Amino acid sequence: MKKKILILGYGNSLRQDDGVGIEVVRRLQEKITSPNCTFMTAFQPQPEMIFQIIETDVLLIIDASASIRPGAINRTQLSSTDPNETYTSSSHFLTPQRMLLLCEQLYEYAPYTLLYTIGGYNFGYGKGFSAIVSLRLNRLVDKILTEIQDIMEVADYV
Amino acid sequence: MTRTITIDPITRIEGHARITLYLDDTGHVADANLHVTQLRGFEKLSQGRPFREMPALTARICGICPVSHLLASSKACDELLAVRIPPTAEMLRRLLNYAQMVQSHALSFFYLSSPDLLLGMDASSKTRNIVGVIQVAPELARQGIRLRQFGQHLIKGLGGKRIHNAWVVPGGVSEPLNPDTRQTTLLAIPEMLNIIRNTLDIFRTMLPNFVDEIEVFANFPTMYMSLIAPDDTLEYYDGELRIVDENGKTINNISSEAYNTFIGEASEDFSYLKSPYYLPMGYPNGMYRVGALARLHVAKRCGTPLADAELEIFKQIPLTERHSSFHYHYARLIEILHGLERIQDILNDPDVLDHRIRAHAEPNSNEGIGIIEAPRGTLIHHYHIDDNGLITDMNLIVATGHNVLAMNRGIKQVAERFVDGNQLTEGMLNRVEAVIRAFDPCLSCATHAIGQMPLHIQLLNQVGEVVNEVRR
Repeated sequence: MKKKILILGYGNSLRQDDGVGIEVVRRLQEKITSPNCTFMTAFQPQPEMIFQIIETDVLLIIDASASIRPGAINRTQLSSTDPNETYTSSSHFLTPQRMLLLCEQLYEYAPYTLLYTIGGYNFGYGKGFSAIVSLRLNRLVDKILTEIQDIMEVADYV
Repeated sequence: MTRTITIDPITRIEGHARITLYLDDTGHVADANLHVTQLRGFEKLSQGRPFREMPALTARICGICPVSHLLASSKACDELLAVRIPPTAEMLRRLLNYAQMVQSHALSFFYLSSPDLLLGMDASSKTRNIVGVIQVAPELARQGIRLRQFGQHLIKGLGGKRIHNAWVVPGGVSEPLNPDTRQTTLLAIPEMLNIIRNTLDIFRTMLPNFVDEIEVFANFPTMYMSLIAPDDTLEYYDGELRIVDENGKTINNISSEAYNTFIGEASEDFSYLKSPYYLPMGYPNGMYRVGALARLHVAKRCGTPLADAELEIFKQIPLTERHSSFHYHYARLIEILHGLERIQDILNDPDVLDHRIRAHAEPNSNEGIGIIEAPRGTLIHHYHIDDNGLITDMNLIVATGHNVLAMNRGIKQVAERFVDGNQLTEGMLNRVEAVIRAFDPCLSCATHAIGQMPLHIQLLNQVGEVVNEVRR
């Protein structure tokens, strides 16, 4: 049975590399035709997203990171019970982990979730990406495409 | 010796601000100020830009209220074009405004204020948040998120995206209503009506727990102002401005073109936020309030059956208590109910799908004023253009600004009751924040990272030395 995959990219396209998640989703959307894949972009994770998240089997999140080496690509499996997760009191902004925790607490379910991050270099006002992020964008898209392909192939045999 | 307590930043509001409390020799509150420390400058940077850019440009003032600015700006531009927009375009703009009100009020009540209401003002800040709400009232949390999602989906269905859509344009709207959006929205309304009626029932049961807060959360008589329909019902998009006194008696009905004859704007050196006041009463005596509570003081009825029934119950609260800004929460819930009824009415009108939605014209006037009721209150956009259609002068009075005088006085009132300079407890400080939160101020936010910053209170002596300090 095919798995339902939700691909979420977030960030601010007017803050250069911060918008890379949105650009990755746009490129994936051009390449993926499977009806099992749904795409979503946003400025930031928000509580309302949980209604779509609980309807999916796999959640793939793409975001820029200011805390890893520019151009580096990280793949992390997220858990709804991450002991390192701390609460932020801004109630309309959530971390990805907090979003999963909300799903778990309200619906006793959170999908298998992978967070892809790419290190950004420029986060100032402006459009477009830094040279290093532009160079690494296709690599990130290819990695995620391979991931999706794997998920779907495995699902065919489960 | 005079001492000062500073609360910086204030959490769970839209934007950046801090509060300073000035203590007298005995540790009692002598005065209070709300400082809005963001400088935005849209009135200046818009000068020289084509007026047709204004709806999309001014919508960037805020990530929470872009719809409100889009609507007020487009109305001002309609006046520059000197056109009457098609009836369906007006219906669709009203629809968008109601959707904005539903999602904004849901955000204010369920996300920002329900932690205080459900967990209590004295609960630890570690639990007094949306996660804490989920633990004590998971169904209410689910419903709150669902209600906000409904409003956001409708905004997205109308404008193409939730934030900063450019669907409302000078002369009307750019695209007709999609029949699928109409259908899915109508199907969802019964569930939303149940949610908000259930929430109203729950909220009423909470009120006895907040007798002290109701008594001092900006609980004093003021004037109130809002748009009003000709039949004295709630109006959010058009009509005259009405100022009423503390007893609900009409002081003045003001046409939009005359607003600046009756509303003055004072500047204080401690804040970038202007302080509007009712000119005939002078500054600062001309204090008035706007927003959900003000609208319920100005209107005789809501104009929809379910909300009217709720308004009748609300009006059973003694008038002296109804002045409390704590009841902004109550008023927002009633307005959500009213908004849902109006959304249903508009979508059931067969003309809502009409494709005649925009009037086209060149500029025919050098001055345009657009006034709407945003969720937080009256929003005024006033433009002047030259013969080439370039902005020469712009004046914006945002909803939060109207309330700043009342907020300052409300902070002082709460601080006098709950803050003792010698005992800075979290519950006391949170009440000072909570009175601001009751007004649901939106301080032109572009980023919502405020919650990641700690609460920081400094107690300063007369020469500015820190004599006490609290962080959380």
